[in-house]
Amino acid sequence: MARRAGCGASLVVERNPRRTFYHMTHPRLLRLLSALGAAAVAAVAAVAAASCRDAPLHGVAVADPYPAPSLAVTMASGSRYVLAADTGKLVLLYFGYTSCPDYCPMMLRDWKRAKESLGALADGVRFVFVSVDPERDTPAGTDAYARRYDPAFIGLAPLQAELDSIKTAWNVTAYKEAVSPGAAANRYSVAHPAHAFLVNRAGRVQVMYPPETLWQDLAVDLKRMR
Amino acid sequence: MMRRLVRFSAGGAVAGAVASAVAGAVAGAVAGAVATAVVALVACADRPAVPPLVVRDAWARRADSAATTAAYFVIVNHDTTTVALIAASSPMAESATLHESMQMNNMVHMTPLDGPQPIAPGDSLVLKEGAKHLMVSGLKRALVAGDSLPILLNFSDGRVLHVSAVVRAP
Repeated sequence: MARRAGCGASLVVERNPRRTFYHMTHPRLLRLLSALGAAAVAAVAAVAAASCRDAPLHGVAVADPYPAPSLAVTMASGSRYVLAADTGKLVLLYFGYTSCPDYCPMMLRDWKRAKESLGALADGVRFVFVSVDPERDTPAGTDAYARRYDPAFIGLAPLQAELDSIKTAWNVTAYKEAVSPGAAANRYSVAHPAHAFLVNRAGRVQVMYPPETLWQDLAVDLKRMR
Repeated sequence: MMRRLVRFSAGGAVAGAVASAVAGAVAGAVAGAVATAVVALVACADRPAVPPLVVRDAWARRADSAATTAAYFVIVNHDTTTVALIAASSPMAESATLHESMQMNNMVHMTPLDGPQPIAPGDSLVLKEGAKHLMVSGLKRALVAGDSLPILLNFSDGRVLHVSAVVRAP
């Protein structure tokens, strides 16, 4: 089973099935190979350790992290989610919609996997899904949608006016796309930002995570930044 | 562990199902049935050795009732002529339409694939995450992991394939 080795990830060395063969026929060759192998592993580990100290984060780093724009939305519970109140935590933010069949579930699934791998460290991370489909998405429906992935996830459905100011403040675009001829008018899809935003503990937007980011890489970053 | 689920049919009748842990298992070579905990291979002796159209790796993402989800599969055309997928449906949903997701300028877009989708002989139509998929809308009930979502695929030559997509949790 191949495993990616990265900062914070353990290096997995596979057993060579042919080793037994060598052992039976060439004990000295085995010792030589073992020594070489151990040296190679040590060298790789040393390089990895050195690069981890100042390795760049995965995703796309924001050159000059800027203060996260305002985001305050009334939740299904009636209380208000205020991003600024989460300063001190890491906040992952994704703009999508609940009838999004493909990309949004992929992103939320990756968040779920990353969160699970963080264990208790995940308490310092907030995962927020913001609907950009005010016509169809409700606060309760969006909340349930996000929590279906993890009970700690937050799903927000801003009203149209709220969404308009959020889009302007965050400089994000989202709009309804054309439906197929003959399809029901409410079966539209919504174009939305591809990447997730990471707001650091100082409340600044620091990294953008494109959808193809591996959840393992996201988890490594969250561990390093917490 | 990768698990493959293959259902194939000729003339609309489901000829058999292959669920095998062995990648690349060829259906139809065996007359009779072999069933173990992980392998169930069923084929009929009076059918062609390799069905002309094969759908494999069919799965759908779990979803709530009335929600929208996606189904993914690969259609392989073993026939000697081009065949086109012209329509899809599911008795468990209001609509099932082919869409393609794509990224452009840091945005995610989705385009309906309205026309026939031709599959040349020996070629495949691949539906996968982040690309072409079957958007299944208006589910009549919730889909939970382990369920199967029935899908009907209509082809240009009149063939209808009955596909059973395994529902997976995210």
